[in-house]
Amino acid sequence: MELTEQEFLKAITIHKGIIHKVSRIYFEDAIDREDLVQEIILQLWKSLKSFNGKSQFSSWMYRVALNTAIVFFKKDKRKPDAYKMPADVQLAQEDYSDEKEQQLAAFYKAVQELNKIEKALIFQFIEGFSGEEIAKNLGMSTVNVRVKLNRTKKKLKEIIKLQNHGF
Amino acid sequence: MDFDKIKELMDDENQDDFQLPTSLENLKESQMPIAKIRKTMKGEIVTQLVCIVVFFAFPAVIKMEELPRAVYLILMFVTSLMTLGYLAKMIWFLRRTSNVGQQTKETILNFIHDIKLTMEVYKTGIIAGSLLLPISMAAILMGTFHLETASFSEWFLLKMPTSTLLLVIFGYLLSGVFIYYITVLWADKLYGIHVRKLEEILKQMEE
Repeated sequence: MELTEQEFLKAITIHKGIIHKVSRIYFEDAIDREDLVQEIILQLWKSLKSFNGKSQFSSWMYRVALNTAIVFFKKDKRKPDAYKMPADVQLAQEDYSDEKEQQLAAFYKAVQELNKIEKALIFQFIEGFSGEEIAKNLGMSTVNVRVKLNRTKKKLKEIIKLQNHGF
Repeated sequence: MDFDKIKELMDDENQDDFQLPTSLENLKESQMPIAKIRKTMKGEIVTQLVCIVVFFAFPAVIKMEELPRAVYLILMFVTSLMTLGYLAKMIWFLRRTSNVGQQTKETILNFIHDIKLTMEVYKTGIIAGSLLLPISMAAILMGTFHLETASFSEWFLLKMPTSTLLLVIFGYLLSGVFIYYITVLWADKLYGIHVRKLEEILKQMEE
C-alpha cells in the first residue's frame, strides 16, 4: 500500500487505541511505553508496503503492533535523560481517581506478570479475536492457542487474586 | 474475572492525552534487535574497509625486502577477498527489510534465521582471514627488519630444525584456537544475545 507520510499518520491516528492498548499491556513504565509506541509507529511505516488491503487496516495494525511488542526488548540500562520524547508525542496521563480507572490499572499491573506470548494471547482474546484468528496471527495451532489461553486466564486470575483485586 | 468488563474499561479509557507524532522525522532510531545488529554491522563494515586500506598501504610506507613484500601482499589479497566476501553478505543482510506484518512465529523465525546466517558468515570470514594473519605479520616483520631474502625463503619453506618447526606449528595452532574463541565470543556478544532473546520467545510459544 502506498501512502504519503501524512496520509499514513492520519490512518494510524484513527486506530491509535490499538497502539495505546498494546503499549499499556506490554510495559508498565511510561518511558518503556514511549519507546514501544515509537517503535510500533516506525514498524508500521516500514511494513506499510506489506499491507495488501486484503484484510482491514486495523487488523494489520493489530498484527504489526503485537509483533513489534513481542520482538521489542526494553533497554537494560537506561541513561538518565539520554533521550527526550518528541514534543508532539504524548502518552495518556494516568489518573486513577475513580473506581473504574483503578480496576483498569490493577488489570494492567497484573498483566505485567505474564510473558510476552501470554500478553499477546490475553490481549487478542479481550479484543474479541476468535481462537482461529489468534492462532493465525501468532502462527500457532488452534489447539495450542486454546490450551495456552485457558492457562493464561487462570494465571491472570490468580495474580489478580494475590493483588487483592476482585473484579 | 469478567473479561468483557475489562474490554469495556480499556475501550472507555480516556485517550485524549495520547497523541501520535505529527511527523516521522523526530522519531528516534529503531530499538529492535535486528536494528541494533544492523547498526553494529554498519560500524564493522566501515572499520573493516579502513583496515583493508591500511594493511595494503603498509608496504608502500615502509621499505620492505622484495620476497617478504610479495608474500605479504599475496596473503593480504587473499585475506581481503575473504573479508570482502563476508562484508558483501553483511550488506545483503542490511538491505533486507524485516517484515513484522507476518505471523508472529514466522517473523521471529525469519529474524533468527537471518541473524544466525549472518553470524556464521561473519565467524567464518573472520576466522579464515585471521588464520593467515600470523604469516602476513611474520612477512612484514622480516621484510621490515631487512632480513636476508635467503633467510626468509628458508623460513617460508619451513627449512628449520624439527624442534623449531614443532614450536612454530604449536604456536600457530595456539593462535588459531585463540582467534577462534575470541571470534566466537565476540560474535556472541554482538549478535548472539539477541538470538537467545528471540529463541526464548519461541520457547514460550511452544511450552
